[in-house]
Amino acid sequence: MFSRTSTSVLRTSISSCLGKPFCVAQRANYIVPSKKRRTIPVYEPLATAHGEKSGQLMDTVRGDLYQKFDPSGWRRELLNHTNKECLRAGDIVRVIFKDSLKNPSYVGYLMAIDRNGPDSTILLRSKVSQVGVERRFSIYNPFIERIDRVRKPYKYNQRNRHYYIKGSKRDASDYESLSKRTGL
Amino acid sequence: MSLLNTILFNSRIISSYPKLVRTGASLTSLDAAVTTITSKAAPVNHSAEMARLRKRLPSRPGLVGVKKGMISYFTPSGEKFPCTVVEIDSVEVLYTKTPAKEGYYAVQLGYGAVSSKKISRAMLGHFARAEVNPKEAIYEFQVKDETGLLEIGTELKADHFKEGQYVDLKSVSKGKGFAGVMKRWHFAGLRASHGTSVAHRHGGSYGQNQTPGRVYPGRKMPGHMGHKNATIQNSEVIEVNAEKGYILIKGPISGANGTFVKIQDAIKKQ
Repeated sequence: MFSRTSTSVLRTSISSCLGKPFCVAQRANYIVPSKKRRTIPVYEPLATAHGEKSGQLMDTVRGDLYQKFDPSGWRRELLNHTNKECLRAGDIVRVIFKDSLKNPSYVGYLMAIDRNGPDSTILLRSKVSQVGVERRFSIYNPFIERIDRVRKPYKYNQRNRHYYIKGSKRDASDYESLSKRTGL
Repeated sequence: MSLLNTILFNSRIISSYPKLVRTGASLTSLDAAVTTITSKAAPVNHSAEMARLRKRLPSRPGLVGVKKGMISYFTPSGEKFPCTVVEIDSVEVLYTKTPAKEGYYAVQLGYGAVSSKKISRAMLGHFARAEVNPKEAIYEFQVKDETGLLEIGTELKADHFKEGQYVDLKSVSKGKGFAGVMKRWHFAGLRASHGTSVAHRHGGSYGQNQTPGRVYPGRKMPGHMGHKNATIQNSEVIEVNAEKGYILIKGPISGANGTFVKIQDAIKKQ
């Protein structure tokens, strides 16, 4: 490989430039120390690189899903806190599906709203022949055509989750037969 | 007598055996002599080259992505299923490998962008040769032959995959630390009462006594769980957005959010 003379020459030159003794005894003598430092070009990132947008990607995807499953925005309005007419636990709500002849609608007491972006759901409780029935619906499911509020309570409870109504005097009733008898 | 002769004659014929009869010195001509046939040695199966040819490899490279989170998706008929969001950000070809030099065909891809101060000079030189920016991560995809190799510097976008196609997903699973046998191997543990003492979550016996006098290899024991390469096969691509740089994939992907994921055409659907 490289002769010792070349390193020794360099040793003298480096030691002279640094002004203190430069020991190369423990270095592999085939590495020629070089004073020249090659500059390496660094290329710019692509114009399309996400950069700081990367942190908001989940919000972007959620926005795209809202546009896909709720283009007119009525589903979002139902969950919007700032909207006075938004759904609230305690309401009695009817969910109407597409192809309603095949798929009968469901009416129930709104026990809880689970706000979780495009995965938001509502939990409806009613009774069918005196047996409590609970069903959970995804608000953004395109199979749901409409969600109607049938009735607001006289006074809202100061709770967002009404799980405690089960078996109490506030329990949901058979709204389906009620609506047939009394036109709820 | 003649009959006897005939029998003898016949018997002689029957008993005669081809004998080497020397009829005199003879030299076979050089033309007629059988020349030495040099046969080509069959390739050794137990070699890197043959192992590569045996491998079931995709015809083109995949993509590198980052798992960002999960989300719900709906079919028009109202079925709901979970989807994983994978970010695809400035994926570029850094280098290609060939059998002549590295022993196999592969495409090296870089992901994202990172400050040049965080990169060693050796790697800066590698990025500069491909004329791309310093990358956050580098992954390599083996391909079947040279038709799968891409030009250095090519950008791969999310539309590398089509909606509805199936992919394999490789990533590192979530690390669970040093885990006991109940968590790691789903052992049942010991009884809660009836004399069980400080061994409720133990695995029981590790084997027999003097015969064999050792613990068999592969015995399930406590140890480090997770943080392993995990592959999920045949996941469906639900949505592709090349402009915004993401892919929605049906179902889960191993690892925490922020994990790098290798996405490839499903090897079992080709």
